[in-house]
Parts: sequence; structure tokens; C-alpha cells
Amino acid sequence: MFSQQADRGMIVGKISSSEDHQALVGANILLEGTVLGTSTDAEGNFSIRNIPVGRYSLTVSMIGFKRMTKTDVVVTTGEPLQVSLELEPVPVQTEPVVVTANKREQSLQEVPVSVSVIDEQALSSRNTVTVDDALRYVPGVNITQSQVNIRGSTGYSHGVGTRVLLLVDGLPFLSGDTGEIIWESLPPGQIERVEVVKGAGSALYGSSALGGVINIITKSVRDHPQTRLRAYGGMYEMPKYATWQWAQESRSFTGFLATHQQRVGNLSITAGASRTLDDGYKRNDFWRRWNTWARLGYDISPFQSIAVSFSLLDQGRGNFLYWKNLDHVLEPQDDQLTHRVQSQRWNLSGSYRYFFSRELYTMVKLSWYHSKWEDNIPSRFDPLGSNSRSDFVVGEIQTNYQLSDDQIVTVGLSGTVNQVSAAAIFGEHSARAGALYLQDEIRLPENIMLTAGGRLDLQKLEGIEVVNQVNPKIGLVYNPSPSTSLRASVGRGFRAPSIAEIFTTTEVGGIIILPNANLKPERSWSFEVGGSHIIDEHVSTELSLFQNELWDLIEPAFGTDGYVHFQNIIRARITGMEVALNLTMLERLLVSQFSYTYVYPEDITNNDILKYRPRHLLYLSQRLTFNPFQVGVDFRYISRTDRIDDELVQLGIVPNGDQRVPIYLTDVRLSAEWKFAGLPVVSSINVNNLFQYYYSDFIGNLGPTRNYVLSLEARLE
Amino acid sequence: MDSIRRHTVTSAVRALSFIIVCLCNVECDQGLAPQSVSQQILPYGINGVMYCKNWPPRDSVLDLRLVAFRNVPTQNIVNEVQQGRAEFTQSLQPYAADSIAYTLILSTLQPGILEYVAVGQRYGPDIMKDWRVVGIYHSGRDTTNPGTVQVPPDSVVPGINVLVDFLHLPPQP
Repeated sequence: MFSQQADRGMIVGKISSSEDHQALVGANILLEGTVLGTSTDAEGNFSIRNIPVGRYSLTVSMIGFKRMTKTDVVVTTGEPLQVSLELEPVPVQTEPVVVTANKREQSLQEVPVSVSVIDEQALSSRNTVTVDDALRYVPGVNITQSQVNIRGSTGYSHGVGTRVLLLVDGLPFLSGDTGEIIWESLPPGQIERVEVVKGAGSALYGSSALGGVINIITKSVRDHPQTRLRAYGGMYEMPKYATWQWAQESRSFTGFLATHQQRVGNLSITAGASRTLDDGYKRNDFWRRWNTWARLGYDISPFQSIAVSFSLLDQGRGNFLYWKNLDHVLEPQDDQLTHRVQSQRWNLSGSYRYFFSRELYTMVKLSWYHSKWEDNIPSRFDPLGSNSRSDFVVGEIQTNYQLSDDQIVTVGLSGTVNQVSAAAIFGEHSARAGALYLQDEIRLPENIMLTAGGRLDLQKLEGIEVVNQVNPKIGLVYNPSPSTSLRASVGRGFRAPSIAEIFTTTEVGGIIILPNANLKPERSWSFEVGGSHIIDEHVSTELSLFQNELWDLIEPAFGTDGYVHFQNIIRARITGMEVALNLTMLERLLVSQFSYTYVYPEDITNNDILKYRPRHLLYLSQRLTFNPFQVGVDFRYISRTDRIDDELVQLGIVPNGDQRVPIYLTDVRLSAEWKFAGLPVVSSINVNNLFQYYYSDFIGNLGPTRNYVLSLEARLE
Repeated sequence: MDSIRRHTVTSAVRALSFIIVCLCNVECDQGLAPQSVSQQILPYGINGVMYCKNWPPRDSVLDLRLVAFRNVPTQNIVNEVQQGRAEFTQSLQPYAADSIAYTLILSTLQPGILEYVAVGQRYGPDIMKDWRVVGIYHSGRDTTNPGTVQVPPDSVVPGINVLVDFLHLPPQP
């Protein structure tokens, strides 16, 4: 046990690359066994204060470099301890540190499942407004409207009941009523990186993690105050066909973001706000958005810290459902031109971390997601429009215990309360859930790491037990050499139906949707084998083979009463493979990435292909840096979707809705870093859909036309 | 050895660049296009006016559409649509109007003879079953005898008017 009354010391140092000895900006430094850590500044320097004297291990990590741990770092009183380290470059994406796969920090090569990481640079260089835009470039991921599909796990159901769980710093971030991901409510200036875990994650994360987990890791505060200002503006080009041109001039979008972070003694403060507006390239597809966020962190001691975060979204938008027809693809039906949705959503969360010792660590987390929306879309049940208010509260306590150098146990308890009040559309309902999970990671001889664990979930909806399930998992990682990692995993997944799926009572395009109180959870078994290999300092490869067996998939379908209900109707099997190749050249100035994913999403019940699942995804990306400029190009090929909701076309609800093509998209970008009045400034121009390719990204919805984005970002530090 | 590796990596980068350029060229295909452009044909179909009288209560007129059938239907009219043997307009509004103009541009049905043109009313919640015929296009004096329409491949046939008398319905298919 550490003595918390001991005298204090300090570590200062610099992190640089072993290749060219250049300073590394943004490298993460962590003092093992404490809450103390920081990241390097613009000169690669860092300092950690207030350290009780003693012997420590210091871990440094950064994407693109091999993670390094320096042991026997002895902190004493008096002069600060100088620690300067050089990190060894590795091909991009092979050595990021991830926290999502096993609920603890570890190298990507140590986890038994496929994980992709989007770092801050990738988020900012592509000028993405919301995170789902950045996910479009992740191997095996494609986005239908804003619904995320990892390796064929999800089709499309207007966001209701996602099969991919979104976490923010490890806690679920889903709306209580529809159980959907609201991307725009994520604080846009606060994201450090995004981790995407592919395959069932229910053994640690419970419901909704059937197809995968996306974890948003928010930024930690640096030692020096920093203010970041970002402004962008752009326009959608008019379509070339006169019959598609519904507006007199090009539609535009703008945004402004300001965020400030500062450390005052043991207190860290972050606050920010953004205003974003988009006229929409489709008629009545505009939005106006305010986001604000704040975070207060306090290091009670070197071994315990507390943090409170708040974020708010206020949004007004039009509601574009389907195009009018193929001759008017950017206009909705005339009676939908005035449809509007207004929403306010906020999240309040808190966390407490305590290191009892270097081996024993506990974290308590609490999150409250409030969601309120109303629309003016009339139905026979709500002639004046619908509205909903929901509160989703989740709490969790997690403990990690390192039994020995070769064994770590993770155990946790979590509970949720969900309250929905939504007049006619969902009604008034409440749900409760509790879960217990346990995981053991054991390092065996011959560089084999075994992970085994499981989670028991209990869920009740208004006193009725709807879920009582154990989800086990087992994973194996074998590292025959430092550059090769082989892995295998099996896990069970499930998804409890959302309140919206059980209780929706509404009318969409003349179709009446009614409740189904007999809905059961969806269940799955997920299998994966794969490996990664670093061929040399320039080339790395990765291969995965996977299969998911799914039961009771929930889909909306006509019932025997003539009405549509959400029903457990599909038994499915998704088989596939994914291959990735990363190349770095010219002393890391040229970075190329290639990935190809094939999935065969089989609807066993109907002996057909599952709806809205493309079978081929091919993503190519190249980035060339020649200081102070950087040029990038992204290409995406998504094969034509085999199957859609044909009924919507046959019944005339979506005229020409069956018209769809393969997707070929090219995005290019040019950015430059320069100084203005001594301050670092980054300016960039992005051209998305460079070749003005017209495609539908969902039935009756044309994807974005060619658009240009100019952005300017200044950092005051 | 190093030079071989360097050469291999350079070749791989070049290959990737080449693939990107090739695939970018595919985009010049332009993807979706308006119907008239994509099919390189002029629109064809029918238009006219529905004359309505004796409207029933509003809550029993959930939908009203003009439907064109290739042949005289022998079964549920929704089945005919689902099997690609009929096409219909968007929902025709407003309720209680004396006359409603329509245009039906055909896309699934090929140009040729339409043996049965009718107005369908959805009177109940079941979108698959709760339909009935409330008026048909007829060419002679017998309002119960369906008239045929010859649709040429390059034009919209005008004057296909239909009388809808909600109190006196034509024979149901």
C-alpha cells in the first residue's frame, strides 16, 4: 500500500521519435498505479507533479509508435527527475493502446478480438462534424444514414434498437426511448480517440453490444492552458440534372467551435461550445444545432480522482423521410415539406477512481442521459405530432486486480433505470436492469494470453422479466514473435428490445405500427480467428475470419391482423473475412491503408440475404506529408445492397425506391500548418464525393452531392 | 535485402495508388440518374380527372389512388401491384373534392394496352387487404364495362377520366 502522506517529487522530460529524434506531440504518459498522467505539449515536453516518493513504472504510448514502459523510475524530493524517452516507430495502427476490449488499458496486439482505432488526427483532418462521419472509413464498418453497421450486424430500422453499443468513456450513451445512438449529442471538441470493437461484446457490456462496441474516449487535460478555436464553412454542389435542382442556389453549411482547457493545481477544467448549421442538400433536411459541454476533474490525491462531465444538445431540424421519385430525388413528398423535429438532450456523468495499491484499482461511474423531442408529423394517433421524454440512468462499479505479473481479474456490477414518457407513440413505461460481470486474463507460457469471462444480465420491464441471460466469452492470443499476433475468440451476445420496439404506436406513410408485448431479446454467438503481422518497419497486415449465428432478430413486419409490429422473425448467419494492409514510406511521410471486408449475411428463415447489408467493403486511404502541407485521399467502394424493404416500393410509399447502385466515393483533402502572430494555425480544404457520384445511401435517399469544406483552426497555448 | 524490401513497399504503394485512380474512374459513371435520363426514353402513362360524388365519412377514406392494370384483375388488387402487373399514383387528395386531376407515369409496366384503369379506396387499417374499387374507366355507355387504353412508348395519354360514385360502386374484381 502506498503512503499518502509521503513527501512529493516531480518528473519532467521529453518524448521523441527514435527514427528522426523529432519531438512527439500528444504522446500519453501514465504513472502506473496512480491517477497521475499527462500528454506531451507542442515541443514534446511533459511534467508530472505531486508524486509521492517511491519507485514507479512510467508508460508512454502514441499511435504509430511502440508502447514503452520504463520501470524503476525512482522519484525523490528535491530536484525534478529527468526522464526523456525515444519511441520506436511502427506501422500505423499496429500498436495503439485500447481500453474497450477488456475494460483495461492494453496494447492492441494483446486483445483477442478485432479492434480499430480512430485517432484525433484522423478526426480533425477529415473535418467530420459528427463521429459517425469518421466511422465511414473504418474497416468493416458502414453507415446507413446514421445507423452503424459493423460487419453486417445491423440493417436499418430508423435508428430504433441499435445492435452496436455506443459508450462514452465506458458508459452507454443511448437514448432511453428508442435505444438509438444520437451522434450529434456527443461533445464534438472533446474526443481524443474512438475505439471500435468488432463482434459481440455482451460478455462485458451487456445489451446492444450484439454486433460490436464503439467507445468514445474523451481528452485528458494537459499541463498548460489551451484554447482551441475552429471555424468551418462549405457548400453542396448543385446536381447536374435540372430535374433534381430544387433550390435556386447551392446549399451551404457553417460551424464554429471554441473549447478551453486548463489545470489549476489538482483541478482540471474543460469547457466548450459549438454552433453548427446545415441547410441540407435535400429539401427539408436542414439542421441547426447548439452543443455545449464542460468537465471538471479533481485529483484528490495521487491515488484517487473524481470527475464530473456535462454535455447539452439543442437541435431543430427538418425531417426528410423518402424522396418524391427518381425525377425528384432531393425533394420529399409535398405533404412532408413542413415536417420538423425539435430536440434537447443532455448528459450528466461522474466518475471516481481509486488505486488501493499498484495491483488493485476501482472505478465508480454514473451517467444520466436525458432526451426530449417533439415533432409536428401528424398521425391518426397524434394528430398534432408526437413527443417523447426519456431518462436513462446507468451506474457501474468496476475493480481490476492484478493477482500476479501474469494474471489480472476484472469484476464489476452495473445497474440501469430507464423511464419513458411519450404520450401516444411509446406511452409511459419504466425498465430496470442489473448485471454482474467477471473476467480473468492469464498469461500462460509460450506467450499465450487466455481471457475468459462472462456477464449475467437481468432486465425487467414494468415488473415483467424480459431478460435473464448469461453471456460467456473466451479468447486466446498467441504471440509467436514480437511482430506476430494470432488470436481466437468466442462470445455470446444479446440485445433486449427497446421500449420503442415493444410499444410503438404510430403511422408512417400510411402504414400503422402497433405494439408487441411479446418481443424477446435477440441472441447471438460470435466466432473469430485472426492475426496480425508486422513484416518490417514499413508494412503490417491483418486478417480476420468471423462467423455470427443470430437468433430472434427483430424486424418490423406485417402481422396477421394487417398491422405492422416489431417481431422476432429472423434466424440469421453472418460469415465473412476482413483483410487490412498498412504501409508507411518516406520516413513515415507517406502512409497508405487498405482494407477489404466480405460478409455473407444469410437470412436463414427466408432463405435470402439480410436487408441493407452490402457484401463487399473496400476502403483505400493515402496520406502524404510534406511540411507544412498534408495531402490525403480516401476511396470507398460499397457494393450494391442486395435486399431492401421491397414492400415500401411495391406499395408506392417510396416510388423508385428500388433504384440503387454500388457506391464509389472519393474524398480528397489538403491542409497546412502555419503560424499567425506566433500561434499555430491549421487551415484545410476538403472535397467530398469528388467525382459527384450519385448513389442512394438508404432506400429513397440520395447520398450527399459533391461538397467543399474550408476550415481554420487556431490553438492558443 | 533492404533495397529489395524498399522496392517491394514502393511497388505496393504504387499499386494502391493505381487502384485508387482506376476505381475513381469508375465514379465517372455518375451512378443514379433521373428516370427519363437513365432509361433514355420519354415518359409514358395516362392522365385525366377523377369526378367524385357521394363521399363517405372521412374516416373511411384512408387512401385513394388511381391504379392501372395490365389485365382485368381476378384477385386482390394489392397482389396485382406486388406482382408487377399494376401501378398506381400517389395518394390523391383532397377529401370531398368534386374533381381531382392525376397523372400516372408508368415505370414497371411497359407501354401497351391497359385493360383496366380504376380508382381504389382504402377503407380500413390493413394496407394489404382493406381496398375496394370505387370507380373504373369505361369507354362505352356501360359504366360497369372497363375500357382499355393504348399507351404508346413516348407519350402520356390524356383524357382517361373516371367517375367515382361512392354510393354506386362498380363490380369488384
